[in-house]
Amino acid sequence: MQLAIQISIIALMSAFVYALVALGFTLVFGILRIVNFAHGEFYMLGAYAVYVFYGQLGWPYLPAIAASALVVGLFGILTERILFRRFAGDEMGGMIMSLALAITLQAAVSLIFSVDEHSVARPVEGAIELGRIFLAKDQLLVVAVTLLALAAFYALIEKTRLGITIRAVAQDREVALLQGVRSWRIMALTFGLACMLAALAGALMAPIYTIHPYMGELVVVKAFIIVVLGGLGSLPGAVAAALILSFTEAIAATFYNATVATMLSFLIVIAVLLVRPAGLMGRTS
Amino acid sequence: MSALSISQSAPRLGPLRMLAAFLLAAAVLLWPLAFGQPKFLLHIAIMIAIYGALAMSMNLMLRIGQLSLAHGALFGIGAYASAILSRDYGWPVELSFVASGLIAALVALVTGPVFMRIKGVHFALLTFALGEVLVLCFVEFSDIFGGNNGFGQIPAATLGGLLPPTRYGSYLLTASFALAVYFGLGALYRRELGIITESIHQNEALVTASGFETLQFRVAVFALSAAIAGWSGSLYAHYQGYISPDSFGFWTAVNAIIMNVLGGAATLTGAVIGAVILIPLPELLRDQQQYQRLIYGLTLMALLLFMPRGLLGLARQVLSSLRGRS
Repeated sequence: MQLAIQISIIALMSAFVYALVALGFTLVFGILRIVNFAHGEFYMLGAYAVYVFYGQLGWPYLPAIAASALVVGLFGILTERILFRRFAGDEMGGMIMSLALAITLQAAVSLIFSVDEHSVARPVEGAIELGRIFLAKDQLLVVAVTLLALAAFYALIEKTRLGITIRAVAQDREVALLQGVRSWRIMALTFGLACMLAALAGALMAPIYTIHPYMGELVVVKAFIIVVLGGLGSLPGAVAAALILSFTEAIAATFYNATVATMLSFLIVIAVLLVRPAGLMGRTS
Repeated sequence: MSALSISQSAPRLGPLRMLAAFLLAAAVLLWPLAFGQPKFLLHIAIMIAIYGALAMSMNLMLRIGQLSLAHGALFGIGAYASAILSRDYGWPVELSFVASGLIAALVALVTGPVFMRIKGVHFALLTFALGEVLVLCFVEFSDIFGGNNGFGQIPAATLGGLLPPTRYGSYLLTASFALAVYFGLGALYRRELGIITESIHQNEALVTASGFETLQFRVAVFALSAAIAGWSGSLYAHYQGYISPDSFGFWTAVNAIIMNVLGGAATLTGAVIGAVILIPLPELLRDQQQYQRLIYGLTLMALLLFMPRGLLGLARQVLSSLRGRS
């Protein structure tokens, strides 16, 4: 029982973190038709930003993660403007540009901070004791903040004018243009938002694990699996798939090993792509 | 229809072009003799030959509008197959080499009938997942593949003593292979293969309606491409003498794609030019690995941004095939 709850908390934590990354990944694909392989690097940048703000400059933790998400989000808008805009709709060119950006960012961070792993001090210590069950406080904090971010994001997309506009551009850019939507601005905003979510995820995970310049590669692979399972461009699908993936992974990793767990998830991806290329919950185009 | 009528006007090799090809091959194979067989340059040239052949196998996939991210793993299958057969089973290197490409082609033939039905970005994602699974197999089944520790003591290829046991010998072998792929695929492109890919490209429905099995044709192209990737991998294994899973991952396939894109147009020559530009970079800046990666990334970005004309040809072709088929 205790093991089950411990596994669930870790699975829930990684599910929400993956969901934050995957949402941005799928949103960028929905709006710009770009498979952004550099998305994990924004996660990595978020972790390094919190390392600077919180670890080096000594800011309090919550303002530090907010600042990290904001700075990386602005940087994301900049990369969209300079690098990605002209590749909107060009799946091949956009993908290669994202690969070039990924290499560049990894190398730049390695040169500035060295390739070695760094650790960020835990913002909260200890555990909450509920009967005979121990829940680590730092993991609970991640769950709480990611849940909050997911809820805010959902409200933004579903309820606000901006959200409706974003969905309109994702569905049909030309029609949105005819309705007077300035789609370039929406693209920049969406890209920035996606980077912000990834950076927030990275900033939250930085104290849990160590940080290094290549940490984004693994996360973008997870996001990729989630997005394929949930369907490219589908938001509820991404959250559902994140939960499925993390629980399968946590269970498989506990009872078998991590390589087998990853192999299993890729085999599921292949099966889904073959049987239902639009994903489990994606819309068929 | 317009594409099918190309068959009459497809250029055949005239005597002049044959002479040019012969001179090119001679220059490629013999230049090291004139320069005193410089070891370092030869190493780079061998790498260009191996990865150039891989890039040309990728070119074949791009021809039918399928962006494969599994070619790193197919390259790996060739390398491991050849290494295991020659070291653990005592097969002659030449026989292992032949088998390596066939085994990679077999993987394509088995997966192809299902995989080649999937098109566009989903095919790229599918092959990405396939590549990851294969590389994880190399890591996980360590008693066969050596796992992350790698697989060493792979015998070198000597062609029964025909090749000098020097680096120039390795160069002769790999460069001959690359030339064979270049001229072989070039000849195929000028004949049926080029005409059919072009017609499928323009109007697949019409080609199918004419009674031509496009799926079978594309599976065959995938198999041929996989075989070339596998043979390149085999040459890599026998030249290096040591292989490990990280040489066969996602980035190997990506580099082969980038070589094609850099070359500027969807031609074999473009793929080779891409290899000639990209391969020396990491080798020259080996000591400062992070600077090398930074320069690589920045150069690539600059090329993508400021050389769009060269890139557009391929991008358009791939894009139209990503979108246009229904």
